[in-house]
Amino acid sequence: MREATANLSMIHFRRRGRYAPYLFISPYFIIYIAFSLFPIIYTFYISLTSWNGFSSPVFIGLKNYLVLILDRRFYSALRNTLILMLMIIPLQIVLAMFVAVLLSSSIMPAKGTFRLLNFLPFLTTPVALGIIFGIMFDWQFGAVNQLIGLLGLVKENINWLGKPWPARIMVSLITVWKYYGYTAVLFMAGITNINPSLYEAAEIDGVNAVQKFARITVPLLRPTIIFVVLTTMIGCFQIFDEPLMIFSTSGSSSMVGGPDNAVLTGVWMIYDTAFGNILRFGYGAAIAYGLFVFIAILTVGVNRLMQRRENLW
Amino acid sequence: MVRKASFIRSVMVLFMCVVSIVAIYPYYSMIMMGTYYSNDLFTGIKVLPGDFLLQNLATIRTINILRFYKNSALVAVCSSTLTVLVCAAAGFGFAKYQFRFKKPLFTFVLLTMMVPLQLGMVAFVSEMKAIGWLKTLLPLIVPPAANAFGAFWMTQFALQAIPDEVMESARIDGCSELRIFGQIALPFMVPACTTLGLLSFLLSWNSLFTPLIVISDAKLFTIPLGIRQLATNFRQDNAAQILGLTLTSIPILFFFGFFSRSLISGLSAAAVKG
Repeated sequence: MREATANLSMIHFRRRGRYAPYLFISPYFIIYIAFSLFPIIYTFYISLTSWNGFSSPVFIGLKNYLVLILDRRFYSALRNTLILMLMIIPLQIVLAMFVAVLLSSSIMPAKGTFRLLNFLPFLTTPVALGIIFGIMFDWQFGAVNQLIGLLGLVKENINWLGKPWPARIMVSLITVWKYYGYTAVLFMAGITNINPSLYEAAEIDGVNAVQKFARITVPLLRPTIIFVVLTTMIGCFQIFDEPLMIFSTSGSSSMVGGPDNAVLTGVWMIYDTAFGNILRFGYGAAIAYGLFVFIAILTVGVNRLMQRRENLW
Repeated sequence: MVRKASFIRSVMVLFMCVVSIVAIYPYYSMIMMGTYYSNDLFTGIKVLPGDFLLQNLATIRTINILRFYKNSALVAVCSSTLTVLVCAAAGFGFAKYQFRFKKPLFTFVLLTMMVPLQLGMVAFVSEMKAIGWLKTLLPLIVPPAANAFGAFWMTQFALQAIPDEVMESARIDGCSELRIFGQIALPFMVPACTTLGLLSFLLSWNSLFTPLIVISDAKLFTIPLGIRQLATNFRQDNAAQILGLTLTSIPILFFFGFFSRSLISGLSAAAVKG
């Protein structure tokens, strides 16, 4: 008897519950389509116009794109992003890996405290830290120059805010500072998940700590490493908050993109074009699409490359 | 052998101490610099607090820091609550039901993780203007709720956290699908909800980009915009400016520090599953 009712209610449910999954996923899709997908598609239309955001847009076809493919500043933004990626990703992964391995070691004391201290940079308002870093990297009086002077590393002070390469190094260091603790947390989770019997077996075979790290830890952390590489790549296009604060509040009134546009990133360039001194919505939108194509190619390419490496291992 | 082990241990501790000092030095110097007279700021590294704190406080009294806090708190609480609900519902739907187009829809969510939202910002501003949201805090609250990472993660979590049997027996008892989600599924998803809530609170609180392009009314300024205003207003008075930074960024740090343990363990769980 009970079974019969159960069957009945199952039939009832099948009919009644058919729309339930759509009900559950629809808020997500409605919000995504209305406020993320629609703007991205509408941006394409804007990119075909000349528009300052107030008067009505004038359709000009692909003219913005013709300007874009000849725009030196656009290519330097792409180049900067690639350079920042090449400086940030290896340093961040190596440092985070080091911290994660140390904080996972059984002989390490005060793990919780160290973990919290290293996680703090991920938690703070980047705008505030941008200003503090601007002061710390000051040419004459900054703590960074004083420290490396004290250690005798350089003969004269480095002009972090005024020269292209020092500016790039500064932005890379700040970005690594902000994210290495977070990355280390991801690595630590991966390390905890490695079967301890692997290490025990290796110990029986007389394998030393370095070999254990290279042959067991690193290969098994590969998924996490791929995740970190891909998200950091996307993140490098979006580096904006700290350099904006550093270069807009330090002495020289406003340096968009830093010295010689050396740290101008994709997002910063869109922001400056569309919302800077002159409002150029149409061209800003075209830059966004140029970036979109570049990001897509890069992501697919890197993903392919890293997946292929998997088969070799 | 024992001596060698303790030597390695000391090197490890030393390394971690150096890294940790680098991690917290900017905060420390921020707190210290806010207590000096501006002209004394650039005379060597400040290790001990100065005696100009009260005067600096008086200088920045002109800026209504409490209002920034109020706006930021309102935005962060609303947007993280909405994010958790929207993503938990989507994750529950994807994980616990079979339906048409499930696979392509889920793939779509995964793909959108790779598309930076800032690419649509030019149109986003026009859209906000068109629907009359520019004079409100809504552009900071509603759009972030469709968090692709959150939906993906909730799906992963719901797949293994909610037992099918419990849902079946609730159905037999005549429970509606909506109630199954609210009263049965959600309690199982609390750990993932906590982490996603904390993370989206953090992102919302620290966000500069969207507020910068959509908020122009100083009454609606969130903390990052307030800090920018502070930086411009006190361009000449560095110490006052830095004290303002301290007041706007350090208190919340304690809040996050307090929750960091559950945030860290939640992120770890997500990393392992993702």
